[in-house]
Amino acid sequence: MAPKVDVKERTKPLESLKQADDGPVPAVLRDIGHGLLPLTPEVNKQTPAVGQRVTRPDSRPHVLGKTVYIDDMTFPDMLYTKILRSEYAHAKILSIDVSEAEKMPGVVATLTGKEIPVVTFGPSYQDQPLLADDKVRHMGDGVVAVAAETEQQAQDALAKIKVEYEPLETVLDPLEAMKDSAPKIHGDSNIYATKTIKKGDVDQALADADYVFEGQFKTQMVEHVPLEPHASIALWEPTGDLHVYSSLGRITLGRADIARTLDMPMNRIRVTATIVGGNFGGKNEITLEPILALLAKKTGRPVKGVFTREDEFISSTTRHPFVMDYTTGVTKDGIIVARKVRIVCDGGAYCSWSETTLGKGAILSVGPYNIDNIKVEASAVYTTKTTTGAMRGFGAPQVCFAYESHMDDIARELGIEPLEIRLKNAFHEGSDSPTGQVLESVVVKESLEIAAEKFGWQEGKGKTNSNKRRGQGIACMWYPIGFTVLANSSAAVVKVNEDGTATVLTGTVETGQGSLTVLGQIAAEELGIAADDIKVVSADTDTTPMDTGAIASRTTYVTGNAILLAAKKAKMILFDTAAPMLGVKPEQLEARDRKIQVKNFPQKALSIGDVALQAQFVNGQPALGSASFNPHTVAMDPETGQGKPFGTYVYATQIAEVDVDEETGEVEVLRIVAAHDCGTPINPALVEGQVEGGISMGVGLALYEEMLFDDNGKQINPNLTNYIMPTSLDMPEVEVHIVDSYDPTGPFGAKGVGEPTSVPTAACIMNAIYDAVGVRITSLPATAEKVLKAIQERDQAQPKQIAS
Amino acid sequence: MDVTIKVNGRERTASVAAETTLLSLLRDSLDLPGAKLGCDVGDCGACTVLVDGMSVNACLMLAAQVQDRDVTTIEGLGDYDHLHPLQAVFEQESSFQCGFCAPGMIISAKALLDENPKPTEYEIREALSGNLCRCTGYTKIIEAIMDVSGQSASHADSKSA
Amino acid sequence: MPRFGMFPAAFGLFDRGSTLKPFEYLAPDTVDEAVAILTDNAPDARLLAGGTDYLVELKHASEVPKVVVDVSGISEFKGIELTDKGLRFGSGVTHTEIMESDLVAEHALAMQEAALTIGAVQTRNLGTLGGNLVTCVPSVDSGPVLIALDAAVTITGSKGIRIMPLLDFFVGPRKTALEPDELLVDIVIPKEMLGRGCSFRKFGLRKGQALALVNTCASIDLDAGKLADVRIALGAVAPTVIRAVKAEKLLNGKAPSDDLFAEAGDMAATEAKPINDFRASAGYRLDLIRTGTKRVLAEALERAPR
Repeated sequence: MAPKVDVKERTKPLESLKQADDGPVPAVLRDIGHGLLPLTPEVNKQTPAVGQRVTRPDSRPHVLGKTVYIDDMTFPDMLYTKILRSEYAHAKILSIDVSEAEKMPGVVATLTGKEIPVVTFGPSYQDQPLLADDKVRHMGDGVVAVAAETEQQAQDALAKIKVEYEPLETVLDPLEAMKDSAPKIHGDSNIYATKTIKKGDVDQALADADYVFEGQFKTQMVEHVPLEPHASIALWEPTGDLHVYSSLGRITLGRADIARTLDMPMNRIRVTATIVGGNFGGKNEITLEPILALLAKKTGRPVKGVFTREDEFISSTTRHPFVMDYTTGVTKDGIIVARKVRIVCDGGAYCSWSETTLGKGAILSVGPYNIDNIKVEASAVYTTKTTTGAMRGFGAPQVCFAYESHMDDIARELGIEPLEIRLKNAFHEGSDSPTGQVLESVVVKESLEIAAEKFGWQEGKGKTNSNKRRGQGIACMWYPIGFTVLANSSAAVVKVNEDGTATVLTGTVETGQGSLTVLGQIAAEELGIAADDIKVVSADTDTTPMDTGAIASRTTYVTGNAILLAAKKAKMILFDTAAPMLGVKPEQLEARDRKIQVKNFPQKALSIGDVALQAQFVNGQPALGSASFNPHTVAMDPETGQGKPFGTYVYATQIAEVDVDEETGEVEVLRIVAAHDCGTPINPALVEGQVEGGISMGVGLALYEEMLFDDNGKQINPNLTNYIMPTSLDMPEVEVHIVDSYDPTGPFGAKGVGEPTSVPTAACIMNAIYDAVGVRITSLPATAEKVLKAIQERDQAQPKQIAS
Repeated sequence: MDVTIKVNGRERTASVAAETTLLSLLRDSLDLPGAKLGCDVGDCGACTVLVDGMSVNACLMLAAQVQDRDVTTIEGLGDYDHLHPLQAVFEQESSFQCGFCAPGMIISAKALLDENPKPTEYEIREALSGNLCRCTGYTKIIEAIMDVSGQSASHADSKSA
Repeated sequence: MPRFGMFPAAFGLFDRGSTLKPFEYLAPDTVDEAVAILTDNAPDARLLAGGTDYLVELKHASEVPKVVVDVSGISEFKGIELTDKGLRFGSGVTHTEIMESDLVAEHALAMQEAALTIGAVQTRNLGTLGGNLVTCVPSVDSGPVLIALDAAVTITGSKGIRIMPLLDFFVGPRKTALEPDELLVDIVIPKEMLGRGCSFRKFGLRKGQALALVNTCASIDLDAGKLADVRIALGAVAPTVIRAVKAEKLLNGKAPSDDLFAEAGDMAATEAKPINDFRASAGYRLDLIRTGTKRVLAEALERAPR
């Protein structure tokens, strides 16, 4: 087991940026010529590397506007692609006529689904067509692709394509879709995945419980809204190899999908990812890549495709709406003894990541609580709506909203304080999870206590403020790292250069979360060098080793472990090389402060560069390590769900303070105090960034965002004007606290933090709304209209009390 | 039509169609891809540039409308060795994640500070409300602007509790 | 091949293409030139001012006009000034200029409140008052304050100049009294309306870049402690901005009180015909009218000179 790292906080060297007289920033229209910072901030040169607020290697290009995203790349003679999408949410395609479109100015080629060697793809089932060839199942389905000299010409040509459809009945509601009478979207049944978790005897325990509570909760469909839309470019090398540049967040599996659909050997396909302009789970699937490849093949020219914002809404994956029924038995002291959960997951037109989302959602739906008797039944169903898929939290924000709202309802009825009831029931070290996994590094109670203390949690404080009422709400959660049971390995290569710097090769993709920074810090820590001594090369299937990608909050834990192991191997070579040079045994050595030194005798040391040089040029054994890692899991029993689905879990609590306007229903989130566990924070600044960003998505889920459909299954608001995501004015003040924990299975004790950050936000806001105005919002988002309606119903049910 | 603009201090001329947007002029004709196309209808702010010192969405101006005007894009603020104070502080505080909003965000922040060197937190939020960011929750962006304008941010950084 | 497959988008070598369909662009310097262009090309010419609405519309349009006439360079359309008639806004004044104007702050503060709710900084820097009014969506944010302050508009065209109340200028959703060869020159808030108690409030789905679910504005005078000449203007609750005349009548001549304002809010709600749409139900909009009217009346009262 690695020693626990002492996390040092740096002091911000921001003073250097400020004017001595504390005066205004100079007028800076074009004041190039004053480098205000050393090129490499001091912190990037410090050891130990882990725990430092190292700046990101991609920050400099970001702030200079020099990061190259796909849409910033052009190749000579490149063509543009636009996709004609379905006019119907559900219809048979009778015929497609592209002849007029092909005559349009600038049009070079068209492509239909019939021309694609293997037209369907998908991570669980291959049920999704790249271009629909026989049937469309939602309005985002592409039918024809056009490649033209300019984007506008491609767009104009779409209007000339004639597609004859035979409309079929649509079904938009998942509960309707489960009925026998519902139109079938694929095959014989719309229910395409079910998950069951059983423990104890839930019926008996409910019968024996002092009280039984029930509640139904619903969530909406939301979009990831990465600021950079999906984009890719395909070109054929003179060698006959296909090269795809893509905004994919997981290139290894992306390449597999491209190879499968094009029926090509993988070694002839190179997928290169750029820095991705936001992912959140939405860029884990191929979209245009094989289509562009075929158009490039047809035309002999590079072909680019960039989603419009509307494409992004109507055809990329989204977050699953859930319908959740909870039945919970408790003792009069507030101990939960039984919980029954039924989840119906609106899976949209194709499976995508629904099966996984369902599984994760089912496991997590019980909440981070010790409950001996459990029954969870979850189903995913097809509807003729936009495809749902992976999105930050994989079902967890949905179920957390339900179990934490439910928890507050129980607490209120029993007269127990919300914090107290959570502390009474929360997991502790060694708790038995709903799937029978013994939990380790459990800090849910600590997160509750820290959040409460930092927030200043006390019951019933300061409630009124003219026509606004103030409330506070708490929610805690648990969240796993990595895939549910399935292998999600990473491999890595670490090379120590002859000057003591190192290069790391990883197949993961930087999608904004700062993974390359964190991975570099892990390698640096193990090699005893600084973050700045590392270069991380990533995301090219020809040059970097396989990786499951930026998904499932797994990068720090899984890819980090692979890099740690690879660095250990490289270090062993350094030790073997240095040992005879220093006259000691390899096991007496340690790597720190850019030196290989004898433990407890730091004066006996060699610089890593000298050792690496010796290894390579004298001993002929370069300091190189490669390794892979896969979380240890045990398959779940199909009947009961018992097993060890994940390597580790993180825990968190968020507390929101809100003002609710009783006359308009408007909710203002004033602040959120978050206490998150991520194991060892490899880079606290990036952990904070994840929490802050996750909370903003949570605020959107809680109050604003919803993809709306008309009766025909057409999206009503596929744009950023009418899809309401939080702006800077809508974000509360956020305070982040990192809960001290250490996971022995993680690199230097680290776990992960990407997804869990948006899990408890909606739940704590809903509880704060209840605290403020006494109404329970059971379906998201809590729009002002919905809140006002609930307030009006409250007033009708009970005569209004005069507020002082 | 020929359009001549002064961009980042340099006079540049391009021949474009009348319906060309300023964003397309910059990205496709003048080799300045810093401003990004995120929504094409003025909602996201990723294409924010300065025209005569004033922040605008480059997707909502025609190239012809900036004839003889002074345009500043992110590329005009600094280079690798010489960062603008805003660029330096955003880097220092890891304010951006995916970076796609960064060029527009920095330009909006610059427009604010040029007018108002010591903005309040509300003024910063108001000034950035036309620049959507999905990654950061705006928190570190706002903190960085508070810092660079010589004010300490309203809340402390995280503590390892 | 260069590193990372990057080729500079060399000038002339590569044209990504515009996301707008082709049109002819003309930028007259004077009103007369503009009128001449409109007369020559009507009805196949459209005006472009700030472009924050119109270019979005063009990007979505299946047909574009032959000629787009950019009026943003016309000097007669510029400036905010106090004249003997009142406070004059050139139609080309931007929302930012309104927000920064000391004259507006002194004489018609609610105009600044309304301007601040329009889009975001980038939109307000380009978007013009005239453009906002001419676009004439039901939720036109500049409309309610100007109507509550009894503003009049000046229109020019090939047949000469016309002046009309703004209330009459708004004909229907996206339809104004402008003929195809006419332009909006200026908007004047009459002298007697300046400095009176006036308040504006917009209700949207979020705080930043919000579109109005309901806009409410009230302006009042006090006559010996009684409400006088109350004007209530509501936006986004009918095809165009409306005045809540029954509510106004209810208030005039009465001593102000919270109960009275609440009653006026209820009355205003009976005068509006809001729609159900995906943003909000008609019922919720009526609730907002009640609350908003009550609140702007109370704030207008606070601001009214005594």
